[in-house]
Amino acid sequence: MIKLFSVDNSDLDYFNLSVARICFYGWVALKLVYWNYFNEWRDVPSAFFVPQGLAAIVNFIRPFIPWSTVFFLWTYSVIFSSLGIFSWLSRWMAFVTGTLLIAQAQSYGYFGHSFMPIWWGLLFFTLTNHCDQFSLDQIIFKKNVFYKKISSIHFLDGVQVLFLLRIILCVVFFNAGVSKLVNSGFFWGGSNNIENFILRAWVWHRDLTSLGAKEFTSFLLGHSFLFAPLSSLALMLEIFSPVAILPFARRWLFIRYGLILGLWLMQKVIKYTLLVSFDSYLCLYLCWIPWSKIYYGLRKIYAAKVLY
Amino acid sequence: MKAENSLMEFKSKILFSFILVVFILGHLGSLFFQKEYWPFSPYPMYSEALHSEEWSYFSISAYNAQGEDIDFSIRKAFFPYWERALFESMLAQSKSVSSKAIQDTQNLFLKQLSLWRSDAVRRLVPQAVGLRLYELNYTFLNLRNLAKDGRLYIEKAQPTTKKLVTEVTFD
Repeated sequence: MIKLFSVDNSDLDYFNLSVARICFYGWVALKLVYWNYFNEWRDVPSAFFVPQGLAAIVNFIRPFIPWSTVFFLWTYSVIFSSLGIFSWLSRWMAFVTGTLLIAQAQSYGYFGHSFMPIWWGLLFFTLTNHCDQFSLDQIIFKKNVFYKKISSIHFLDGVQVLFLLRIILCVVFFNAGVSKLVNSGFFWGGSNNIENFILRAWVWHRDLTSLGAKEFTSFLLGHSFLFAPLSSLALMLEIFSPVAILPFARRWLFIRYGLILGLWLMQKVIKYTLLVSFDSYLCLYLCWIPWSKIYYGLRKIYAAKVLY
Repeated sequence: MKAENSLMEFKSKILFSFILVVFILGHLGSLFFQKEYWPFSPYPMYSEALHSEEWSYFSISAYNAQGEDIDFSIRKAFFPYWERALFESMLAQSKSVSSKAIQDTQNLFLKQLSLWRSDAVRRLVPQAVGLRLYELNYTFLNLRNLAKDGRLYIEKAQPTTKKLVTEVTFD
C-alpha cells in the first residue's frame, strides 16, 4: 500500500495538486458562471429540489433549506476555491453546496453522469491543504498565525489526494466498459450497433449538430468498416483504464499517458458522433497532467536559451 | 515530534485506505448489481446494444390555439432537468400508463412544471397554448439510407409512425 502512492518527490506532487486545484475549480466555475450550466438552478422553484442518493439525508429539512442561498454559496465557493481565497473553507462549502445541487432528482447531475465524477473531486480536495501552494491565501495571510495553523491540517497527504483524484476517471471508465460487456456482451462492438447509436443520436439531438460534427459523422457512416475496430478500441481503453494508475505505469509513462489521452480522444469522438458532451470530465483529466514537469522543463529550456 | 508525525502519517494511511476501499467497493457493487446508488454508479451509458431494427422515442411539440404543432427545443426550455422526466410526467397523465410508481412521483412534477416551465416554453414559442407528447417510431434501415455521397441528410429523417399519446394545456 505504501508503494502504491509513494512518489520520488512529494513536493512535485504538491505542485501538481495545486495547479490541479486551480484548474479543477476554475473549470467548474467557467461552466457555472460563463457557460451558464448550473446557472439554470437559479430560477428553479424550491419544490423541485429533491436531493437523491446519499444526499437524501437532508430531505427532512428540505423545506427549510434556502436554495437561492445554497446556489449563491456554491457559485462563490467554487470561484474562491480556484483562486485560493479562504481556500479550505471555500472547498468545504463547494463540497456541501455542490452535493445538494448535483444530487437532484430528474436532473442531468443525477441521471446524466456528467457531474457525478466532479462530486468526487469536490470531496477529495477537502481532505488536504497541500493543494494551496499557489493560492491568494499564501500571499494575503502569509504571516497570519491562525492561517498557518489551519493550513497545517491535513486529513490526507497531498500525494494521496492526487492519487484519489486520478483514480476517479479510471474507475468511471472501467465501470462503463464492464457495463457494456455485462449488458450486451461482445456484440456491443459490432458495426451495426454503433451505427444505430449514431443514427438514433442524430435524430434525438438534431438541434445540437454542427457542421464539423456532420462532416465527421458522415465520413464515418460512409466508411462503416471502421466502427468495429473503433468500438473495440474504445472498449479496451475503458476496461484497461485502471492500468494508468498502477505503479509500473509511472515507469512506462507512454502506457499511462497513452491510456489517458486515448480516453480523452474517445470522448471527443463521442461528442461529434453521438452528440453527447462530457466536457465536465475535462477538469479531472487536468489532474493527470504533469504540470511540474512541464514547468521545470520550460524553465530549463528558457535558461538554456538565455545562457547561450 | 517525530512520534507525532509518525502517528499522523499512520492515521492518514488508515483514512486513505478506508476512502479508497469505500470508493472502489462502492463502484464495484454498483457495477455488479447494475444499479445506481448515488454517488456510486455503473455508468451504463450506451451499454445496451440496439438489437432491433425498429426503435421508438417520445417527442414533445408545442401547439397553438389552432391546434397546429410547433417544433421547438424542449431541452432549452426544460434545462437543467432531463426531458425524460417530462415525458414520464405526461405519460403518467395518459390513461395508457398503468405504472403506479410513475404516476405517484410524476403527477406532482407535471403540475409544478405547468406552473414553472410554461413561461420558458412561451418565451421560446410565444403562440404555444400547451404541449403534446408523441410516440415516434423509426427504422434504422430508413435512417441508414439518409447517409449518401459522404453526407448525412438527417433533416430528412421521418418517423414511420407518429402517435399522439397525450397533451397538456398551460394554465
